[in-house]
Amino acid sequence: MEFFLQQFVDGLANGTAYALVALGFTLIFGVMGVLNVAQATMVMVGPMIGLTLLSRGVDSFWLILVVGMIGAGLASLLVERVALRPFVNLLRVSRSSDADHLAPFIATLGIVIAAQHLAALIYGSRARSFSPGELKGQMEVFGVFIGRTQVLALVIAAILLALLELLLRKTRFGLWMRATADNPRAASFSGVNIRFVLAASTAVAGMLGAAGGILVASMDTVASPYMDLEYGLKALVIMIIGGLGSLYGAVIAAIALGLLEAFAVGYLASHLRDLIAFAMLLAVLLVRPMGLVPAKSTA
Amino acid sequence: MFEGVWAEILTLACMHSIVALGLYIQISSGQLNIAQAAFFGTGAYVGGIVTARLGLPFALAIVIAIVFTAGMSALLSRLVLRLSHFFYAVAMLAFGEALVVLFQNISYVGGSLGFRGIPWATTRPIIYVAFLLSVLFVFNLDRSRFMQAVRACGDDPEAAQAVGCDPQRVRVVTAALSGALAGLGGVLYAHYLTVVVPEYLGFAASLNYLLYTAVGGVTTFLGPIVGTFLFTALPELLRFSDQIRFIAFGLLLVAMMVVRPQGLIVRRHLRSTRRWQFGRAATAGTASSGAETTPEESLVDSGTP
Repeated sequence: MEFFLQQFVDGLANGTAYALVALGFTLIFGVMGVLNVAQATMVMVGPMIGLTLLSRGVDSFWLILVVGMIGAGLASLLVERVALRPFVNLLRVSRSSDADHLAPFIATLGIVIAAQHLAALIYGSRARSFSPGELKGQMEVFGVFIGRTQVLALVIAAILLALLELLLRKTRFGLWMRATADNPRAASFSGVNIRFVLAASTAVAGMLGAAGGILVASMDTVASPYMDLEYGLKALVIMIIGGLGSLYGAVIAAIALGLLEAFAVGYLASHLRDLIAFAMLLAVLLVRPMGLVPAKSTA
Repeated sequence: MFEGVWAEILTLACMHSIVALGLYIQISSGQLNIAQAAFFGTGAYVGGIVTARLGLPFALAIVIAIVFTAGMSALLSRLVLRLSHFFYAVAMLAFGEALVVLFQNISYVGGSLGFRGIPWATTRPIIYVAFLLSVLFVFNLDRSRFMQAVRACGDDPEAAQAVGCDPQRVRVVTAALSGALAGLGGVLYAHYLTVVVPEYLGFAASLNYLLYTAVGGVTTFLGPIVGTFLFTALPELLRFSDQIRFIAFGLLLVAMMVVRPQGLIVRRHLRSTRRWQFGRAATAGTASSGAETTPEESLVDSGTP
């Protein structure tokens, strides 16, 4: 029972960090109808900024989180300007036409490749230790060890999710985003500045991705320039499982994936961990191709 | 004629071109297969098993590998028939990654260390002949009625169905052709390098084929060939340190997609039809004219007001 609870806690903490990364993908896909692969890069940018701060002797997790998120937000703005803005015409007119996204897909992929090797050039291609001092330590509750990072991951993810929900439901900017997601043409006719919405949602997505990346890195206590594809691919899978463009679906799918992975590692074999995401994806696609929570219900 | 590094690059480019040509056929039918390397790698493993484990001749290995990957690809395509573009792509991705893990755990073919001891059988002339035959095949296919049906189904399956094409049949047949070419490339590769590792099947390898095809262009069979040769030679041409090379490569991709998203090589008559459509869209200037153009066309349209 304690073993079960231990896996549950580990899985839950990992799942919420996945959720943050996946939400970034989902947000951009929901609003723009294009796949921004460079969202995966932001998962790596956050921890890399953290590494710089750590090497300069800044040992505060909160500072790393804030600076990392801001840095990734700015980087996302740059990516949007360079690799997404030129394809602004691709904005889907109706849901059925979100087919041919090869050009922005390849362009953002180019960003991923360039950024990955730039990071490897600056920080070295080996994984480096990433553990801000104030994160060390764990507590024991009924025989289950809960690390301080795991508690922080849950709390931070919950706060960010609540903030995102507030942003989408209660602010004018959120209204613009939802309008653009629903019908970009109509939104633009009603006076919404689409380009601003695109840039801003990319930045918000990048900040979420960086937060997810920093949380994952501090739970694993390592960060490497190559963590982008590993977690980016998982987040992509989560987005599909959850239902393309569906925010709640992405959160549910992320936590489900985190739990399943933890149980697979605990009860089966650790090398199966990376198979779980794809097995889950195949199963969901065959049984329920629209995803767990179809996007219409939450858009 | 060709010596040393450049002969090696030419050989590799010919082998990869065969696989990219298969992907080109499949993408034309609207199936964005982002796991082409999975079929390439399966062909390599199957071919290796036939020669190294069963001791059968190389020629038989080629045939068996082609039939196996074609069958596998057709079967998979049939299985995920109802998934449309994006879902299809990700299902393929999942399939490819699952295969990697599968091969990593089969000790009969070496597990995660890779399949070693495959006899060396692929000479350069064999590769050149296989390449020329594949190009000839796709060149002929490109101008056939079948390929017209493929493109119609890729552009708009419902409209294609209305004029008598069967999109489901087209998808399965193109998947089989694509799988066959990937298997051919794989079996040649296995008997050229004499070793296969599970990573050959993975997403990173598949991305290469996607890049070759997308950057070269998917409107004519020349696109993937040019793309493959360019990308195989480019790392040699950009001789800096490894990392700077990849940074330049990534930025080049971005620039390429922004400046010329339809790919390097574009089919002639297609270009002229599109220009005609721009004129109409520009003069009409209504919302509906934008909706009529496919995403690819509106993408090219971006410059005109």
